[in-house]
Amino acid sequence: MVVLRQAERTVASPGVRTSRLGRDFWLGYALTLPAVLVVVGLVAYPLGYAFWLSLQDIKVGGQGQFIGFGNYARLLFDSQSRIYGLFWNSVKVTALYTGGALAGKFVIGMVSALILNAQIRARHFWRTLLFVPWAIPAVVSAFTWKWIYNDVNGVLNTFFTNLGLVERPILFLADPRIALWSVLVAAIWQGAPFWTMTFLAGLQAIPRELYEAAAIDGATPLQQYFRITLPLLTPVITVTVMLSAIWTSNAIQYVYILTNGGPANVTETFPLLAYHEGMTAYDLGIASAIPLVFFPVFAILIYFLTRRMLRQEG
Amino acid sequence: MRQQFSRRRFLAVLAAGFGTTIAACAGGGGQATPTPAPQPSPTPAPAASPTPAGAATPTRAAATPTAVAAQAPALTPIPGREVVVWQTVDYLPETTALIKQRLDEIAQKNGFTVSFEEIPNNPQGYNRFNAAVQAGTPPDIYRLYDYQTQFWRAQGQTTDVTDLVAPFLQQNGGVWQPVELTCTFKGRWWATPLAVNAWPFHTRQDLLDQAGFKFPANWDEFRQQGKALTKPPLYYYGMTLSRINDTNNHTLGMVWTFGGKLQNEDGSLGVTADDKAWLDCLALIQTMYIEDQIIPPGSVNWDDGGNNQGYQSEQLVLTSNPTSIYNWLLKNKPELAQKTRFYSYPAGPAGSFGQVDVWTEGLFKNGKGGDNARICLVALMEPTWYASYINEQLKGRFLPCWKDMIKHDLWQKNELYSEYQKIISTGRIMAYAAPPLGAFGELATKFVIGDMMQDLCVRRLSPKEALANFVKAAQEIWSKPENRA
Repeated sequence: MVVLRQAERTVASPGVRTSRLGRDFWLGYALTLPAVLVVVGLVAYPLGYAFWLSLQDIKVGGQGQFIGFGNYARLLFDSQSRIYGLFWNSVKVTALYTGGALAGKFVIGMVSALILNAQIRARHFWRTLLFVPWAIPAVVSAFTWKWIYNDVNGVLNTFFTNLGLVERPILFLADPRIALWSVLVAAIWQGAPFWTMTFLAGLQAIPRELYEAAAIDGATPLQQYFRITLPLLTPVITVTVMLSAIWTSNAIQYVYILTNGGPANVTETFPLLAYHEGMTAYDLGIASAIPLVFFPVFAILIYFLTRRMLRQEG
Repeated sequence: MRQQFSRRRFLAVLAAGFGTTIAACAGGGGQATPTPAPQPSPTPAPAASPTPAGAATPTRAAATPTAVAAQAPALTPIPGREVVVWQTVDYLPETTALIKQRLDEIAQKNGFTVSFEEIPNNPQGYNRFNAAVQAGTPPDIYRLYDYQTQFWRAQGQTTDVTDLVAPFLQQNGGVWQPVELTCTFKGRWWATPLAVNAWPFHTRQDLLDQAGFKFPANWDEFRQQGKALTKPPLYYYGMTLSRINDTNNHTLGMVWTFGGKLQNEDGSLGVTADDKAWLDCLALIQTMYIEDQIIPPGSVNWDDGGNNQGYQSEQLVLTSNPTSIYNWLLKNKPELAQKTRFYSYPAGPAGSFGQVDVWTEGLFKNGKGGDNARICLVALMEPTWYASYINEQLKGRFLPCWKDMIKHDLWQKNELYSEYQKIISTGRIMAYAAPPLGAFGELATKFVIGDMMQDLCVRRLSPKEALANFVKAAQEIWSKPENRA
């Protein structure tokens, strides 16, 4: 106890740290240096460099011209600029895509978790099977879905045509009315198992006695779900939603491989727009500015996510 | 108001925020420093010396004697120094394999080494190259096409190679105009010519024959044939309408036949919102897609391989493409290759024009190969080897850059390539009638033409509205001073 208090005093008064800890004080800094270097080198420097690029009119391999916040102004306010329309379209598409994916994954993840948490036959087999999509690399599954959706010889169109349900193939990826939904189905298919996994872990942590007591009190299964399951799962749901929102809105594999943002930009999310501007059109300034516009949103999200996760650990 | 703000000043500001560690990382962070501005000054005039590439195996190719090659630049091999060469993968493996073979021979003869690498011919490969350039570690030699030659020159990344090209310019009838437009800027050469990539219409001659048709002479015949031959899943015309490179080619090839063009001779924008040629062309495209339905509906979302796969899987009667389609057929579906013939564009009110793009080899300033790299480039232009490479080894994959080499039997006597005479003699690059400078490069890489096609065929705007949107976006691009270089 005495030792602990002494340690607390030491930490509380930095002025005496060196004299009390002696060489150990510097050893502490030396030991944390690799971690600091990693964070600075892999996070701070790229972020700083991206910000620096976003302040320039610069092409790949070229010499930039400093234009201050000109790129941001074009993106956000210059309605006469071509990129302005593309940017705001990408904001809308990203919101729809992320919102749709989260909703779909939530419903499928929750239903699957509830089923797999119940005493069903061959439960372990079903659990394993359900997680298969999560284990497949996104690029592989995206190409598979591209084949499934193919308008000429894809699985779905062949199936519908053979059954006589359609006369002409459905343009899953080329019809602007359904392209985004087609991409969403593929993204939800792959992402939902992660939600199932986390929800299932959360469900298994809820004491059975609560359900038994509620049943004795006459609560219906629906009441049990809304009064016990959902409130006790809220922390898990919050973390899952935040994590998935960050991953989904930043991922470009599905939109890139399935539609490359088309048709007519209806599936062009903001990371894909940044990719197009930077890697295809060589415009590093605009390409860096696009994701940085969203940086504050993600920073806030990550702040709350980290705080909640640390609180849970505590 | 634009200001020059040095990187050093920025780092100083950054350092205040992140401390001295940031500065340390910046120093070792992969050489992200932008490359210095272009050096417009020409390379010093070469002194006379024997070409190091003169000892190629004689072939029966039609190459004029290399009298002028004796004036090739004096290049001193640097023993042991490596030349790094990156080439994108081609459908025809020989395209790069023969270059590798040639460079290995030259390197061995001159006592240096070549590190030859094929990188994917897709966005992943391009990203890798872009990253290497941005990091200041590009290869010495990289194959470029179309606007890329001028783009990397404008970024100050490539070297003036006029001294290397000049000795060959008067040989074999000189080079085609598209070659010169692609490679030169203000009279200087910024890449060495490699090949002319033609875009013929790959056509199912068997289907035309069965229906008693000949290749359409004009767009009216084109539509009539299209309506007669389209029976889904077989569609007549594999025109790409998405935001990809092929859409640029397909659209501009059609526009020329109506008398339109993208650029004027002085490099200014050659299209206005009420341009009749463009409006007529757009109206035709929209009609073929929406009313006639002779273009596959999924083409609004094709990638660059979409029309290739459509033709190869026998779902298209015709499509315009480099002969990568045909070469794939030769290896994988020879019976379909037999049924395929090549044609130039059907005529519009202004006539018919061949479409080509020019492939070049760029010499990158940040490469470390020195004169060894220049020796390699000279070797690839040596006429005897070059004529053999293009005409005898690649057998129609590319047209030669030098005019007289088209006199070879391949182009004169082979029925399949008979139309190539017309394609190259009327051949235009997409940026016609000016070099593909910055403005064209930006228009092409941002797929503004693809946006117009999406307006026309997906959003179903009128040709006038679609063209107005296009012209507005193009004007924004052409108004940037840096795009005039």
